[in-house]
Amino acid sequence: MKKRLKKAIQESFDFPEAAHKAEFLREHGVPAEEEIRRHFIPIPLRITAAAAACALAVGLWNIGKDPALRLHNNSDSSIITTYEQGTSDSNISAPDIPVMTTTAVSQSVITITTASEDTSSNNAMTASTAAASAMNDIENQSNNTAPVISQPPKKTNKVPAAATTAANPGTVVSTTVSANSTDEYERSIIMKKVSLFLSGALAANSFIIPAASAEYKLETQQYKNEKPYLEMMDEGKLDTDINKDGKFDLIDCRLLDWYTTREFYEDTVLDITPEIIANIEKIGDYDGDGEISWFDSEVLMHHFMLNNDVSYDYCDPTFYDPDFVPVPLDLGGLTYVANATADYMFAESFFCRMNNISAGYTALEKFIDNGGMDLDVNEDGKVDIKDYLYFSVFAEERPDNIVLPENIRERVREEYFKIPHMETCFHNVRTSIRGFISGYFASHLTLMPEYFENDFYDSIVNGSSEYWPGSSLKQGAIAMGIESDEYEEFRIDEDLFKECLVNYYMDVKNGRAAAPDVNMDGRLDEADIKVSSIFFGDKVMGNTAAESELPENVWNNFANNCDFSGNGTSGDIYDIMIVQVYLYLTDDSALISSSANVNARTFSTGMSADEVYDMLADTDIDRSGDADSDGKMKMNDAVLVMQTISNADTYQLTSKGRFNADVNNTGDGITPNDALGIQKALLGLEP
Amino acid sequence: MSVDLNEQYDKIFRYCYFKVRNRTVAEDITQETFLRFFERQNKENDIVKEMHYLYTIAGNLCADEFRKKQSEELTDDIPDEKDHEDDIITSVALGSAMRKLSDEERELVILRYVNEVPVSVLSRLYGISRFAMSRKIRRIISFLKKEFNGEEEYHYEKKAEESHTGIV
Repeated sequence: MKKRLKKAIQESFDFPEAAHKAEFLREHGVPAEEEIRRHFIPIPLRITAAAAACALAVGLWNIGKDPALRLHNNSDSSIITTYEQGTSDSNISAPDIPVMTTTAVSQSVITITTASEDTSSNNAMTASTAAASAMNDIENQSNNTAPVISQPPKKTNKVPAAATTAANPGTVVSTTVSANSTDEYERSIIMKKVSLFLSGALAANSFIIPAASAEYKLETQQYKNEKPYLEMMDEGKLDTDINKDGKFDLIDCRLLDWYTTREFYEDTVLDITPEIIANIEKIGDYDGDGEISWFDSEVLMHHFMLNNDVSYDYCDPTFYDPDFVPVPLDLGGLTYVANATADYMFAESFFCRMNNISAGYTALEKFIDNGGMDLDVNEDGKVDIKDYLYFSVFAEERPDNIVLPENIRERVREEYFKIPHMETCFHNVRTSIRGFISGYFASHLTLMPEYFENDFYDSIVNGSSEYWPGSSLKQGAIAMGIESDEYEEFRIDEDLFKECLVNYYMDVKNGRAAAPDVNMDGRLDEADIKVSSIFFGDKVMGNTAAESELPENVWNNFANNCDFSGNGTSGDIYDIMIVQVYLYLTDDSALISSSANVNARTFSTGMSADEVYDMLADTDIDRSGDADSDGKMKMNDAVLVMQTISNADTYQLTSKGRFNADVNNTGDGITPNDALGIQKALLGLEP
Repeated sequence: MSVDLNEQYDKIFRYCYFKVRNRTVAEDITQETFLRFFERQNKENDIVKEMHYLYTIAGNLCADEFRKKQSEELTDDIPDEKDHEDDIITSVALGSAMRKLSDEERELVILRYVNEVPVSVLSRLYGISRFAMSRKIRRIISFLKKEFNGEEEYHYEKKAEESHTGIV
């Protein structure tokens, strides 16, 4: 939601202030806000201070123990400690000696440790090693106290996970090393360790705190074909009470499913009456296509799933038939259920459909929370990012590119297959389940920025980055509302895009707007599409005109003079898509010659050509009559249209063909009149 | 993790005020809600459950208040609903669009966007799934968005007109 809209909503209400809040809360032992603020030392500061104090205290303790070390006579300065060590006990003035300085700066703490040259290296090492040991202690402590998940695997160039809570924004850690003794290198390493430790505490400010009550975002895209009917059901315009018992529940879904699949299964335990069958035939054709089909059943099931808290109980055949006994048969790697009754099939179909629209997240979450799955597959006593990786990779692992160790694979498999129907449906739902698992981990892990990088996972399992675990976790985090979707500006609202495109198309057709010659070469061809693709890439990468491979004038033209959508912004995703789709629709001959499979083309937003044609099917955009999509309108296109109508099982049109062939009364779908229209056009009787 | 009582006090008060439209009664109900909440505070340590519990108590107390009012004889000093609602809804930004919403929809908007109650709590309060709740909220927002854009355009045009005619 846009911030402006949210602000506008909030500004629309004017509530009075509570008059007796402070005294009421004080009476009941709740400190007032100001008091909390006064006493609150931010956790990051506490950690930073504790870290610095540990390093300092342990260092001092070691210095004190070593007679060779002398604390410089500046005891009044609690935050500056200088170790001095020379060949004699005499003090050596600072300007004469190269020094090694490690400085950690935060909002509240400044610790400067200065070690002098020559033989001080051992002492510096002692202090630093102790600090490193303190670091380990804290790390361990943090592991012990973390209830679920926390410590990322170590990478040499990564910050250790000692700190599990946040530090301050704006804190800086700097390490300056200047030494010229033989121990220089060693000391440098040691002091870097201290620095690393402090950095660990400080850099934790980049941790992402999981939302306590995140929701899994359900994309309407996932059920877009059913959307109009689901909305009508929500509004009560479609009757969902199949058995007329006064309420809509799972039984209604089961009854409609029985009706649409009754020819496949003779068995049923349902109490079917002629009245129910009559009612199904009366109200069951939700999409109004003249038959009561699996689609109608699916719409009803999705309506149930979207309005009820679903669980895996509904996916258990014994929920419907207590006597059901599954008999799995493993036939060469594929698992079947031998006694697949109608109840079994309904339970399985409920499971698959639930996952296909992401309503299955709730069920999976409940299942995990109730102990249905053990996420600690590497059995190290904690659920962490490694376990996430194993689950994530397993779901997509290809037989020709196995990267997980065998024992881990077995454990993950075992856990995944505790989910009902996974043995038979794994390949159908694995992508969805992987997404849910990502969402689950994203909302339960303390996330670190590198968790979203695919390469990071190679340090845990070599080659695992090929399965995009970082991207998947990111998507999970976005779905849970934890992470913002930085690519949102590159997505389109299909309804809006359709409206913009049709308006633009009509404007060009009627001479009110110029055609999208974005490269300004006087021609409309694939070069314009290419320019739009490069421009899109620049937008995603944040490139400027100077950084783009496009000529600067072309880039600037796209950025400033190409508001084809009329939304006030030139060169946004709507304009880019309009260029691509417009050119594709109006002159695809050049594209056909340059592309082996035009129908498989996808546009910058990832929309396929088929999706574009389906989207535009009911618009007034001109049609070519080229039903077989071979680039020309011929008599065989008219024949193909007739064949499609008369024998739909054998002859089918592609989305593009269906779009092209709808020449008569454009937008009403394929009819015999379209075949007639094509013939007339070929004979020159119609334009 | 527990709810921030200082923050929740204001939010529960707003919710009660929206329901009963009387500042004194709303504050009484808010305090009663918290008294009941304190009685069993240690039993939960889940922010969602705590928020759900707070809003459930507050909602029930408001419903009791409403029933009590209904059974009493109407007197002049009982505030007129509409007047008070006008007090809550300002004339700025989305004021007119807010008035077009039903009571329940307005309540949802307040809970979700003014009090920032998570959808999971709302779905429990209203007894529907999180998905159904999300879709319900999305529908309201899309209506408000449309109105908001319309108003923005109107203001823009008005401003242009004013600058054209010299009125600033």
